[in-house]
Amino acid sequence: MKPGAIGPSEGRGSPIPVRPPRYALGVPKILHTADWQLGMTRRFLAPEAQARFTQARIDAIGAIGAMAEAEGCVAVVVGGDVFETNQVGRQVVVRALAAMGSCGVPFHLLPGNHDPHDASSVYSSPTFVEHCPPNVSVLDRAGVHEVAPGLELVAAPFTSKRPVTDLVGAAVDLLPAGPAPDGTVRVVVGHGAVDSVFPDLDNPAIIHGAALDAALAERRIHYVALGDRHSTTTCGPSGRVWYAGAPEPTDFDEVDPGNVLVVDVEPGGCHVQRRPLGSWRFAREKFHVNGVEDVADLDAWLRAHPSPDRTIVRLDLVGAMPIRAHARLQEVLGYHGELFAAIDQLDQHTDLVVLPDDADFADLDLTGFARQALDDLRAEVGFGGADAAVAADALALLYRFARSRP
Amino acid sequence: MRIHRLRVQSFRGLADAEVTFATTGVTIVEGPNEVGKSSLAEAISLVVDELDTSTKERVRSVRPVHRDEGTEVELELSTGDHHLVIRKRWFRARGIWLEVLAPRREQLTGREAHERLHAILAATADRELWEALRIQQGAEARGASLATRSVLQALDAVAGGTSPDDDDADLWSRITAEWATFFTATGLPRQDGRRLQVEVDEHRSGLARVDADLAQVEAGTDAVGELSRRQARTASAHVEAVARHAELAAEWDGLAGARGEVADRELARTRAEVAVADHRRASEARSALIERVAAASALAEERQGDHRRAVDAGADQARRVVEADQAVALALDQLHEAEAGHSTASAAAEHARRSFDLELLLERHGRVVTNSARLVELHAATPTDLDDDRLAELERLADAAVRARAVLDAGAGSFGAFAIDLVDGVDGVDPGVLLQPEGEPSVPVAAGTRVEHPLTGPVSIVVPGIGTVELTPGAGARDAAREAADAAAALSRALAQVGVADLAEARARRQAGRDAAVELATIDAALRADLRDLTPEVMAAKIAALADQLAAHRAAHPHEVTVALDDADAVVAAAADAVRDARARHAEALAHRAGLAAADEGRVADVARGLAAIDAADRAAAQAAADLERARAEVSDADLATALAEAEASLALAESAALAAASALAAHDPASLEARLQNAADLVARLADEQHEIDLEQARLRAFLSARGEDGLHHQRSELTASLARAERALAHHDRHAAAADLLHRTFSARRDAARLRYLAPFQERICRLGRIVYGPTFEVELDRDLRVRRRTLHGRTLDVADLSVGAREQLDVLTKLAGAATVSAHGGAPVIFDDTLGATSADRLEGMGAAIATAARECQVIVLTCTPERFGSVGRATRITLTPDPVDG
Repeated sequence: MKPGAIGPSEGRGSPIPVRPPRYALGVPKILHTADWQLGMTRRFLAPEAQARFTQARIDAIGAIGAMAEAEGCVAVVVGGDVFETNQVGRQVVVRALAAMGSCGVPFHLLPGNHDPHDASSVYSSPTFVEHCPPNVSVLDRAGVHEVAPGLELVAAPFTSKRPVTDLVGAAVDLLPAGPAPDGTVRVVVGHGAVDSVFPDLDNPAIIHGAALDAALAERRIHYVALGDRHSTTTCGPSGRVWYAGAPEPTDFDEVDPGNVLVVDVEPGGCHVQRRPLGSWRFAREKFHVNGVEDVADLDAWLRAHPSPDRTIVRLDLVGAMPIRAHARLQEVLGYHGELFAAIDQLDQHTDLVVLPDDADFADLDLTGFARQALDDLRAEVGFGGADAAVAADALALLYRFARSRP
Repeated sequence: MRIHRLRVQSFRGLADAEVTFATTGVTIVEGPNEVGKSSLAEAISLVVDELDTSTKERVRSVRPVHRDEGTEVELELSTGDHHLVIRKRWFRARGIWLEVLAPRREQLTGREAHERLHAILAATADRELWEALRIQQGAEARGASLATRSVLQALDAVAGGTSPDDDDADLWSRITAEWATFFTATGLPRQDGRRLQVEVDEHRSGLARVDADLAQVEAGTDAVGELSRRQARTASAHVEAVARHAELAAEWDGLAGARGEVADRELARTRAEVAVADHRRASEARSALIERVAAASALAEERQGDHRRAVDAGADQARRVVEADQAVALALDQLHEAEAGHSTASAAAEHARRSFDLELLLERHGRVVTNSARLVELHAATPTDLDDDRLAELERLADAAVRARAVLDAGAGSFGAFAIDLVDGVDGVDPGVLLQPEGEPSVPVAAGTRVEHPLTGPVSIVVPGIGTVELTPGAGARDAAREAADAAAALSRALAQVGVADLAEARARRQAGRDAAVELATIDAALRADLRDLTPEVMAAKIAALADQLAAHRAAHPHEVTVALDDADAVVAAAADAVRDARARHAEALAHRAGLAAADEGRVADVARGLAAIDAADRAAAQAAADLERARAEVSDADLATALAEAEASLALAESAALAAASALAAHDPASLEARLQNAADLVARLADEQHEIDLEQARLRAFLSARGEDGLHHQRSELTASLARAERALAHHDRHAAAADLLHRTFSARRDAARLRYLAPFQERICRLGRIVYGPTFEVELDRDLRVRRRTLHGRTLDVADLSVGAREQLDVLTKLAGAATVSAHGGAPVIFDDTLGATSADRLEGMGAAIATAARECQVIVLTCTPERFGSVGRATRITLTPDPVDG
């Protein structure tokens, strides 16, 4: 492709001017990102929070484009899983394409395992085809795509959700033997797990890191831009094989999400810069709560989060606590539940037992039949079993009513 | 609480009254209705409840009418350990003053005083009980519940427990309210829970639908992938099949020379076969021609023989025909003879019949003539103007005339005239007395005679020379005379009309008429029977015609023997039988003749056909002989045989050559090669078809996937999953909350009910003790949970309170309140105030009620306000205070 030309054949509509490539006089620079997973929803988000979560992912595209322009990148390379699935909503597709279309830099999208280029591919859907802007191309064919003079993308797209071979290795094998021609840098764009980082003998599609290292050493290729792992990670000794990670975090178990990589691709060695971009946070914490003091600690921990409206918290609460502490815990969680994007508690990770003690009802001055009913419920809790939980709830209710008496 | 003293000034009708109450025991405040004793109860209420600035109606209503003064109430009371005096003044110089005397002295004014009073009361008194223990004048006897805090506390203390306080009541109501948000009054889950469950179910089914759609998309995607792989395999197989086909086609082409040799030899063999067949056909045709000539000759001979036999048979046939013709002629003669005999017999019979008819006609005609003459006579003799109706009319008129006459004779007077023979006639005139009825001829009364005359009209009795006596009948006699005359005249006119003199003649004439009519009818019937459908004239004409015919017949047949009519028919029948026999014989002869004629015609035709056949057979034989001759002229029989033998030898040679060529080709197995070649071609075609089918299926699936891809199924699934999770959380939360609320409610309810049951017993016992004073030892009551009396038992009979009399209900209410007040008295309690109660209680119960009040009052303060103090006369120990009316407002 000639400099200044617009994206490959998928591009439609009027060409928009693209900034002249700066690398013409020096090293090609690309912005490596992956795993946008647009259209992703999280079950623990309320509709309002989900809407903001979704919008943040669209906004990230604009931020990526702006960063690429500012850094003088010749291309944004997305290493797969641009969309959460091939069956994403039309609105997601249209908004994503509009966001990319508003940027002055080409985007090259690789189909990953979430959005494989199969018969139901989103990339061949009427919506995508109709609204795809000129600066967006899909790396839908395995092999070399010359996206700029001297810059070849060696694509290894997924054509099914469950490939049965090392697609990246296969794409590299398509290259002519020997080093790349002078003046040409080759960036492999792939998706999936690399065996050196995620050894999995049962995965027929696992990427063989040694072969990549060999090709890098041979200078047949110069950089491997991978997607699939949401945490920013480098693989192997070369320092040229990278997972960019998701630009916005997607789950609690991600180590270092929310970054993109700005890469100066040099034949002799790459300069990779990690740039934080994400605005959302996932935080998971386990708390032992046995009394009001522990609840206060939890409260303080929650209060320490700088942007709770973009933070999703999962709490693993463990402990046995009296009713008054539990009531306080509910107050604290109720308060922060309004502030945070979500506070999630998984039943299987929550082991919180409410054990009423004498102090719970000491100040409530219950007498007569009310006192007797209280004692009955406490005895029920003491017996344990399924009814104990109901009795504990009933005691909590009683505690609330009794405490707020006039 | 105890009320010590109350002073009111300018309060309704009371200008200034002060009452000091006994703090234990009964205080009876008595006074006439208008004195305002009820105002005391009202004043106690106002001074406790209302601010001095209050503008409420209940405050304004106590202002005295004729005095422009402020209304003031001062109440001294003790409650708990407090002893105090509260004074309030309304309307003029308003103010509130509180003086607490114990436990430590306090003096407060204004709102502060009011609020302090209420604070003291809230801390020390049971306001609910205070309200409940007052019986207002005329109020419904079944008052407020006594299940107040202090009563329950007191009862619980008696029952050995610790009673709940106000806060616990509030707690119970909140628990109940919470439970009611989840359950209906009957304990069924409310709509919210069901709605949440429905929501969860809907989300689940929606999710299942989307999952199914997604599975369909995934299956479609996999199918397209599989089709693509199949397409690749098929394309590869197609390429291979095309190559194999080309290979086999080349091999097939290599066998072209051998196949050509086989084809040539086969062609030569076929041609030889054709030549042999041709020669065989020629030989067979020659043989057939020879046979044809022989057959034609034989046939001609046969036809000649046939003809000869036919001619011989024709002579016999002609003879039989002649005989048959003779038989027919004889039969015809016999038939004619029989027909003539029948005709003669028929004519004689007809003649006999006509003679008989003539005789009959002559007899009938004679009777007709006679009867016609008699008929004319009878018609002439029968009167026609006097029928039964007319005779009845005459009878009626005669009867009317007789009755009118009888009336006249009975009703009119009559007189008698007696002429004395004293005077002689003068001038030749009979000097006798003359009666001159008006309009009638005079009737002379001869001297010395007496004439009786009815007085039916004016009559003058003329005594010539002496005078005239004029007699005039009364109006009745005149009318009767006129009616009698009219009736007689009517009868005369009627008789005259029918031409008889009197009624007897009329009757005789009517009888003669009836007799003539009977005879007339008889003769008419006979005449009609004889005439039938003829007239006498026609009958006469028929007689004449018949006579002529008979005469003519006799003239024509002068020798004919006349036969009797009875024999004639038998003769005719015998003649007819003879004719029928003759006709049958003739027909038989004709038929026989016709049969012979037909046979003869056939024979003649056969002869003709035989001649024609002889001719045809001769021609055919000649033709066949000519054809054979011509054929032999062309090719002789010997040449034909030689040619056939040569052709058969050539065929044998061709067959062996073809066999040899075929064997040579078979050595290369061309059939198998051809089968393989055809199979290869079929395989190429089938694989091409398969590729096309795969293309079509792929196109269909891609179209489906493209359409479904636009549905945003993942988005739908995500939203549904999130909605389902929310709905499930809401349902779980709801269920958990409901279970907790239910358990809390059940636990509290059980304990509360148990506590209530414990409270009931001592309170019930206290009411019973008081009641037995009034009703005796059989008195029992049953309470509800609000400590109201629900049922009363007396002398073993239990009744609902609603079924008791007004008086009994009133007494139970008083007893209940006394029991309540007595129950709590140890803890302060409140005074019982009765405002004119027991109005419906009978005198025999009043004594017992007085004793019960006095008994209860040993433990509590009882204040009775009444205008009929005698109701409470039986209260043994009581402080009595009499109020007197105000001189101005009283």
